[in-house]
Amino acid sequence: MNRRELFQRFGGAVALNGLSLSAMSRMALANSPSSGTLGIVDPEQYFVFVVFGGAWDPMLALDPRDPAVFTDAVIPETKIQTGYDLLGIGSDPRIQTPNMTFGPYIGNLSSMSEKLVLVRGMSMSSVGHSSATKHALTARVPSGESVRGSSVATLLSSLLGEENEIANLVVGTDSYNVEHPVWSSGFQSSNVDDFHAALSEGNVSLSDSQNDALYQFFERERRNNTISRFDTMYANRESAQLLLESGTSALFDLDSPDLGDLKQYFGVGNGITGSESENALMAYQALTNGVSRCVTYKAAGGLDSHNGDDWQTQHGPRLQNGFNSVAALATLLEDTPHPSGGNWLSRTTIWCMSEFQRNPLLNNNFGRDHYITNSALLLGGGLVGGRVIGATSDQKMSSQKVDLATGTVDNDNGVYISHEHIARTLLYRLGVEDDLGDYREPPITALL
Amino acid sequence: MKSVIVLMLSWGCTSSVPSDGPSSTDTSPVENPSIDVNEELLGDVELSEDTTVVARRRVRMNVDQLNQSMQQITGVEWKSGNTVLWDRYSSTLGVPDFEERTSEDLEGSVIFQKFLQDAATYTCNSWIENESEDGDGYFYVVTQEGQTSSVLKAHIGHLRYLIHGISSGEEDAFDESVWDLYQLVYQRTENSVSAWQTVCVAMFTHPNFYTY
Repeated sequence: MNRRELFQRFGGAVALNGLSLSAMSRMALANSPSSGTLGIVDPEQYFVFVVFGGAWDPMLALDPRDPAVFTDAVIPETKIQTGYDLLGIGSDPRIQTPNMTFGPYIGNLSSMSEKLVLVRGMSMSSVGHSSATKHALTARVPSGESVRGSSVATLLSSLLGEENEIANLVVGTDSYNVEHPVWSSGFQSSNVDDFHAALSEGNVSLSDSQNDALYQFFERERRNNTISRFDTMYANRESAQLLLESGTSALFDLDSPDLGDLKQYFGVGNGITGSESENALMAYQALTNGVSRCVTYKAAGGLDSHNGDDWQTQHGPRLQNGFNSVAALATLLEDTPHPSGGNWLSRTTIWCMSEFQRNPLLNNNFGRDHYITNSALLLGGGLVGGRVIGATSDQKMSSQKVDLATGTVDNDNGVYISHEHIARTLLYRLGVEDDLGDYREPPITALL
Repeated sequence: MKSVIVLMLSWGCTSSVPSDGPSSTDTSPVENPSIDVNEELLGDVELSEDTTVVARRRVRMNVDQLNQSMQQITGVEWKSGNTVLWDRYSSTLGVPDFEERTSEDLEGSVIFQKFLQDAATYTCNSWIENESEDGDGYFYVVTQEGQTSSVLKAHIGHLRYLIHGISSGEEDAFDESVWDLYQLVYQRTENSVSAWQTVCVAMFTHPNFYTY
């Protein structure tokens, strides 16, 4: 059987070691740390992880404060400074909805508040960008600069199976695979153009005859190989070739007129948005065309606004563009029927995250430094929205303990929540009660 | 008054000295008790002459090493127009920018394999095209029709040494596999240039080239 026949036999997806794809998925589950108790409630579930890089300012979007209460006069007591007067957008630019209050740069997500879950007052482990980003993506505190677990997206991809061409698509950020099958590793590129190039023929290409012969040559090499590290490389080489032949690249060709309507919808190239609109378009295409089950994309970068000019002029708009990309994606997913019933948003959980948040007190440059608390935003996937889990305190915006059953602050009997709790919650929502990610924290049962 | 203060300070210092310690005025050296050392031989140790490191974990070349190595071997740089494509895809290939990333991702990921294959295909095609047209070129003889198998196999060995840095042994399994590859492409295309292109790409996309 040549590689093309192999490819066709398995319907365009990748097969390894001659096993059928469903068999491989079963093996992945069987080899997971706590096999036997898994029961994925509905395998038709999807996940989008949206990364805001550089540490977001809670005051501008997810965790604002009333400037009439938190005035400059009480800063010595509260250590909280809204800074709204420096932004030139009104003395109280907060956005009130029936369910929750947002900062001024939440963008179009404010009209979807009944679908949103805000998690406030999360406790983080680090205010270093690199290690904290690893914590956010893996939901495990890294050991220095070394991750101690896989990305949550990688774990979920490994559980959802390898039927999709790219189980775990990642654009603009990092991905980690410590202990899961190779096929669940993040397919990482820095932008949609590079991703498209990775699925397309190069500027010079070989003929089918040459590629077939190469396939047979590397099959022989793989069979005779004794170096374990090479096994992964041979498998990845084969996956790259099969992806090339899958014809998937057209779905992500931003120059194609076929994507004209989608580009207009997401605002690609409209002079306002940046790469986040392309990334959200890519996420929509990857999910709804059966390319990926898990997509991670960067919705904003450059949020590390220590400098006052940057904080006052750039931070908010960057946040807003990022949240607008999420709103556009969620709205279109909701408008797109899923073949198994319902719409795509009802089956797709979106988790917006940043590595930590910015200090509630402006620094000497009128920018904001790093701060050890954090927030998160979730929507879709059947989550009951319009809720806020936890809260920061009114002094220093510190983390507070939360009653996981109700989501309310309970500093006596509650627990501090972090990424680990959210990751565990996603596992539970899949039907997996065992702690396969070794998060060592319970789920937020208020979200189940 | 001054003498009273000095007296008080000196009293304060001496009062904190443990009673079994040396007095503050005793500065003569103290001889430590001797330790008996058994100098009897316990055994012989033979120093091995073989200090070769048998194996170590292989590491993938970084993007700069790949670019330099391929250029060194072939004289060709992977480009589209004036754009060096290793640079174009450097971020996706995990090259550090020393702003957000300070170490290079050296996994042999799917996307790395894709771009390596593209680079190898471009480089090999240009290399063979350049070298087969020149009467003194590296590929001139072997792309002429009617060459014996021994000449062709010898060239495979040369290529392997050039690209992998490995000398072929007698009845070398790898060389035989590459020979099968050459023959298969030649049989299908009846074109020796296509066959050598494929062999060249196989060599450059083999882990023996890009890991060390």
